[in-house]
Amino acid sequence: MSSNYHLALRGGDKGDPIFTGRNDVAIIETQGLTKHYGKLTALKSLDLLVEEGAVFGFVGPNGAGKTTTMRILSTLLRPTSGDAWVAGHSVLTDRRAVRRAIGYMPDFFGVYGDMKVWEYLDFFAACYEIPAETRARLTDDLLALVDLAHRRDDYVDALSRGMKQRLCLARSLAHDPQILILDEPASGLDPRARIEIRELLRELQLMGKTILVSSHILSEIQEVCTHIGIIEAGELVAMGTLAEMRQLIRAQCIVRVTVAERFEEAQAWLEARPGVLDVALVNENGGRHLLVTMSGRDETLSELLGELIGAGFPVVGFQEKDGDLEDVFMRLTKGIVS
Amino acid sequence: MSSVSTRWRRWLCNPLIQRELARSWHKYSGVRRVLLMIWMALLGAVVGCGVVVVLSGSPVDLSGGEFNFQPRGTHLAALGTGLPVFCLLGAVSSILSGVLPWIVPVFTATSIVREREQGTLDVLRVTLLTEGAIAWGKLAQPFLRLWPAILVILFLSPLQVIWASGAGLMWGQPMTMFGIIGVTANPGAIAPWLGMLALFFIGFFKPWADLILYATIGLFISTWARSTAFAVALTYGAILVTRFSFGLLTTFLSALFPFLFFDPMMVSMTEATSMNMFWLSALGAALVVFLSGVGAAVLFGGTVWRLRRL
Repeated sequence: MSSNYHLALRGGDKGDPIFTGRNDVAIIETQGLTKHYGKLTALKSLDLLVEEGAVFGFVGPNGAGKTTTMRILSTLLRPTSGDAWVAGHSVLTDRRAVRRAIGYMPDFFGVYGDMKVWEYLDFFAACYEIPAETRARLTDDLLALVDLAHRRDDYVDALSRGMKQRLCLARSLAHDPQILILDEPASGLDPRARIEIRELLRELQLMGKTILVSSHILSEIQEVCTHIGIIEAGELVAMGTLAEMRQLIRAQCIVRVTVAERFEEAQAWLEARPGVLDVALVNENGGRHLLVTMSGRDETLSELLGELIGAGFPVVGFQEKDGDLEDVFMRLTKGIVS
Repeated sequence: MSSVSTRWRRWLCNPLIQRELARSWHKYSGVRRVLLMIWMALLGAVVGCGVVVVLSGSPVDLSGGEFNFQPRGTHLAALGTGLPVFCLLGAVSSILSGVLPWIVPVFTATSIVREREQGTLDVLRVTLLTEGAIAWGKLAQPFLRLWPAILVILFLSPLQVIWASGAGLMWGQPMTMFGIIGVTANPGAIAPWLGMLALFFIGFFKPWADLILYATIGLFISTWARSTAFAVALTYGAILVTRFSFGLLTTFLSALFPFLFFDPMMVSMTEATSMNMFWLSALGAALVVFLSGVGAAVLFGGTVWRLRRL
């Protein structure tokens, strides 16, 4: 997928506005989206862009404005100012077309417990104006997709939370929307159910759906998402592909060095090297390693490796440690809540 | 024309209504359904009996060219002057008419706020259902759920009027007199028959107007309330205020225009049997029904407006 994103940083790191004008490949776009709840500002001129076919992870601390953004994109909330376009339709002026294009799953969702599983899906399919003659087959297909076919005739109340979550996801797919807006789909689920949801999201991406998903669980986001947007206090802190986000923390890199012997000596030698900021002796994965934090990029790393071997240290491992999304998140956010 | 029929179809095929219909049908399964059928058959028999009585002839004796409200001994309405049946119908109808306006608003008052409490309102609002369709579905819900009782009112209220007409009681008397006076005075005139029809329809619509007004009060409050208990309490309070206001309005208007809200039976007992008096009496009753209808329409519109801004 060719990236159409422009990596953006808050506080004038890049200087210019993130986006200008409507973007042709964006399936979701917001411009100057602002929402006030009385005196509280939930969103401050948010400019967001989600490319078609992307799995866009929307992350941020509690109260950052994720749910508000998603509710505006789902036409459940009207922005105080600014506008948003979903599949080319404005959430302000063409709400019905937007609703036809999206499947929405709120963070706090309820189900009609007194309905049977198939009735629940059939009811929502009817709400999406799907003809009665095609609903039975659609219901079966959806249940098969979310692996609930064996619970077809059970009451919704009898399902576990994970199953209800999957049922709700099936409900949001009833009208075959282009876009899925999922607010914390894995919250409150056990590890197995989370994995199931994750697999389901991957499957949906393969089906060509664009997915906007919010979550607090960053490790899961980075496993599923192709793009990330970090929001804090109603402002977009950073946005880009996963690789671009990782690039953000690469101004410093961490290398895991493993030597067969002479750990302390190697630590002292490394600490004396120019460009090395910190050396820590750690026990990881059942062995001792040196975690070397240093400035510079690939050339510096190869030089260091050559010098280390030249100095006679028995190097058995030299691996750059990947910075994960948590590192990015912690670096970019300040813990501000609006 | 086709757009009108499409619109009607859309309103009738509202998934919320379909769901409620299915639920009602499943609720009355097995023995319940048999009992319901028996009840409906009995009701049908009563309706049929009433029609026979009314069609069997006028209870008014016109012999000697004078109005005589004694029922003739030969026809069916004279079977106990229709009083026992009238009283029975009146009792059932009155109980239901008295109780239902307090039950129906509970359903509507809890409908939207409960959806919000259980977290289903958002998923409903994000579908292609319009706010109007959601409000309509929620308004229809109690009527579909309580349909056996609603049907009783539907049949008994007009039947009571018909029966009373046959027995020469209450609304029936002015209705009969409308016909008798008008036709005697001017056999070709249509006005007396229109008057009869008007009174009949007012009697028919009055309980419905009350029910719908109270239901919309509950529905409107349901969009504002934060809990079901608060919604029910507030709805009952609002209904009491409404009833009090209508009472006040009627009293005030009847003080200004005594003939307007004069009881039709009292009117008929006095010598004031002129056509105008009956027309005005009908107009007063129609005004109350009209105001209820307007109030219900305004509240329904308010509910839709509020749903858009939740």
